[in-house]
Parts: sequence; C-alpha cells; structure tokens
Amino acid sequence: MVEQTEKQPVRDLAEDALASVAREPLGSELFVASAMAREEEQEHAAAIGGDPASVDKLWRRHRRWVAAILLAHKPRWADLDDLLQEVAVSLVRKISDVRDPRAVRPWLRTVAVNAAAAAARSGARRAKDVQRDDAAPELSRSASENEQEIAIGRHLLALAAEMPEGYREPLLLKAIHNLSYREIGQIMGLPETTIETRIARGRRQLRELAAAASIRPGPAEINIPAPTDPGARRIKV
Amino acid sequence: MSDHEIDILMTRVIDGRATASDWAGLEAAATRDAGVWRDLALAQRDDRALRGAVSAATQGHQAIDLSGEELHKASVQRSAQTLTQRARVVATWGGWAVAAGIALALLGQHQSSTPSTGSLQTTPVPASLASAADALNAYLTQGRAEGKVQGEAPDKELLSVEPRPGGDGYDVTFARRIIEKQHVKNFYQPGEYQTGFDEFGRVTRLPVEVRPQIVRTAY
Repeated sequence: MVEQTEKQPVRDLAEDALASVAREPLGSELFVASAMAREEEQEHAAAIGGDPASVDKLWRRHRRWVAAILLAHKPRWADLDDLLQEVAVSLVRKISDVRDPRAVRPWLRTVAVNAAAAAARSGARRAKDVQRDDAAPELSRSASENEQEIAIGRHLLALAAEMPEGYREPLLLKAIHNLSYREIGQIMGLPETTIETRIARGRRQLRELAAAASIRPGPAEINIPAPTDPGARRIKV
Repeated sequence: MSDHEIDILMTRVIDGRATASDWAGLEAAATRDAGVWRDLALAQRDDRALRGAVSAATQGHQAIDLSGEELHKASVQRSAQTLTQRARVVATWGGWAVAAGIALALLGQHQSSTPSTGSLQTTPVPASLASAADALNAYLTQGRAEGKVQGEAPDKELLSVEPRPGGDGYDVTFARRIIEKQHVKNFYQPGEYQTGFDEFGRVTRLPVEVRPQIVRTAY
C-alpha cells in the first residue's frame, strides 16, 4: 500500500525525517549529507555576516535552482536572465537581514518568487517576446530522436505553465540535476512526502496535458533505473 | 489501487527510489491494467525531455555572477548602515555630541584643523587664508578678540553618513555650532494683540522686562 500523506498535511517533522532516513540505502551517505548540510550552514552564516567570498559561493551553489523557481513563476514573456540578475542583486544587498542560516534557502525562494511576481505586475510585454515564446517547436517525423526529444521538452515546459503552481514548482525543481526531494522540501518549506505526492500528481497532469495536445510521436520505451536491480531493464510498449 | 497510488509508484521508479515492494505493487497494478506500463514509459520520456528543456532554459544561470563591484558596494553600504545605526544608538542615549565624536573617530577623519574650543586664544589672524578652515579660524580668533565669539560648541550634529561612489570612503555631513555673544539694552516683543502692527499698519514693539526666574519650592 502506498503511503497517503497528503491527507495529513501537518505531519510531525521528526516523523517525516525518520521516513526519509528509512529510505536512505547507506548510513555513510547520511553522514555525508549531514556533513554537507553543516558546511552549507557555516557558509550561509558567513554570508549573512557579510563575507563577500561566502556570498559569492552561496550564489554559485544555489543559482541553478533559483533559475528553476523563476522559470516556474515568471510570466512567459519575462526574461529569465534579467530576473536572475535581480535576485542576485537582492541576495547581495539583503542577505544580512536573514537571521537564521537554515532559512537562507526558503528566503532565496521567496526573493525569486517575488521577483517573478513583480515582473508579472509590471506587464511590460513586448511583441517580439510574445512571438518568440509563443512559437511552438515543430515536430517532424524526419527529425532525429534527439531533436524530437528537445521539441517535446519545449512543449512540455510550455504546457507546465498551465499547471497549478503547487505542482509546477516541485516538478521543475526535480528536473534540476541532483536536487533531491529533501532539498526541494527545504526550499519550499514542505515535508519530503508532500513533495513526492506533488511531483507524482504533477507528472500525471503534464502527461494528460501532453496527450490532449498530441505532442508525442512514436512509441515510448521504459527505462527502469531500479536500485534493487543493477541491470536496467527495458520494456517496449 | 488508486490512480494516485500508481502515480506515486511510477514517480519512485522514475526517480530511482522504488523498492522491491514498490515494484511488486506496480506489477500487480499492471496485471489488471496493461496501460500502466505505457503510462510509465511516457512518464519517463516526458521526464527526460523536461529535464533537457529545463536545463536548456536555465543554462544562462552560469553567466549570472555577482560582480565584484556589486559585492563591494553592498559591503560598503552595510558598513555605513552599521555606522549610522551605532551613531543613532549613541545619540539616543548620549546625545549627538558623543554620536558625532564616535562617528568621526570610527571614520578616522579627525580634522586637525578644527579650532579648539574653550578658553580664549590670542593667536594672531593669519595674513592669508589658504582654506575654509583657515578662514573659520580667523573668524573665531578675531571674534574672541572682540568679545563677540565665545567659541565653538564641542558637540557636532551628525546629519548623515553616505558611502562615496566607487567605495572611496564616506561623506559625513555634520553641523558645527559657533557661540556668539551680543550686547543689547532691551528686549521687545510685538505689540497690539501680538500682531506687531497698530491700526495704521505701523510696526509696534513693547519692551520686555527681564527678571531672574523665581523658583518656588514645595512647602
């Protein structure tokens, strides 16, 4: 039976942490994760204290997922790099206002969400941006598999904009390489199990949106990265 | 098994978190509905494609660096804020005199040309005035000699501290107060119902008698 956690939105954090620990395959990995968290916390504290090198390091560590947050919240016509630049400036100017080093991630997320919201309010929409963003990639049967995948990816990203924010944001964060459920939970201030639920539902919504838009050519192939089975299985459907 | 439960299992497979129990659950669901495998395959391909699209869309993040100038500016701004806050705190409890003193000491901008206050000096007036400080010194010296200037109040009122563009120190704005003495024979106040004018529009003045203040003590 799959654990149903969304029916209990206010779960004890300790219980949630224990559930996460139970899923970890190796104790040594936990130790490494814990050490990394401590290192990050020290780095955050130094940045809050005004150390320029630590602020720079903090930005380099987090800027990729900040970009994903902006991608999830910005209006389609807004330029991602411009917004990212705004967040960077806010980080430098206001990091000293953060009191708790552990609150840096959610604070940074709030800064990014606010920057995207401000861009949406400004409404300075330019015709060429609209043309560029609304132009759908073409799916040609003669295109290579790689090109098709790129085109599908762009379509899916555009379709993701139609999803509720609560599902879109964790889904796009998960698309960032090496970002775990735990890290996404820290950023969004949600339990890890809720993140899993939202990603699962987000994937279904996206699949249904894609089916409605008829963007997939050809059959798909299952690639099974099961940790219990070292040899990945492939099933044609 | 509900659709949501199947979605959870598929998500675990996609993200490499599925346990043997999860796989057993998925296979059991697939025996009842073969579409489960198709959905899993599509979800995996969507995930791969979405990862690629997000990666492409956010690849510009590497170009967004914190410029050294921005970091330096923020650092200077923070220092100035701290300085102003300290000055304000001291001003609250110890008056602006101490605040200004501390601010100036922190900035290391003590002006050696500032004229001393207190007792009268008999320094001769310089023949030429090379700077504003010299001019002020000359005024103070001459004023003291004439009995008009008492000196300069020791406290300086700190008005603002602003970092200079490019991080080249700070601009400190403060007020200096000169104490002067003037001899007058009488005090006057405006007459005619405090308007200062009579019915013909002429200025009126009423002499005021200045007496020592009587301090009443409690019985």
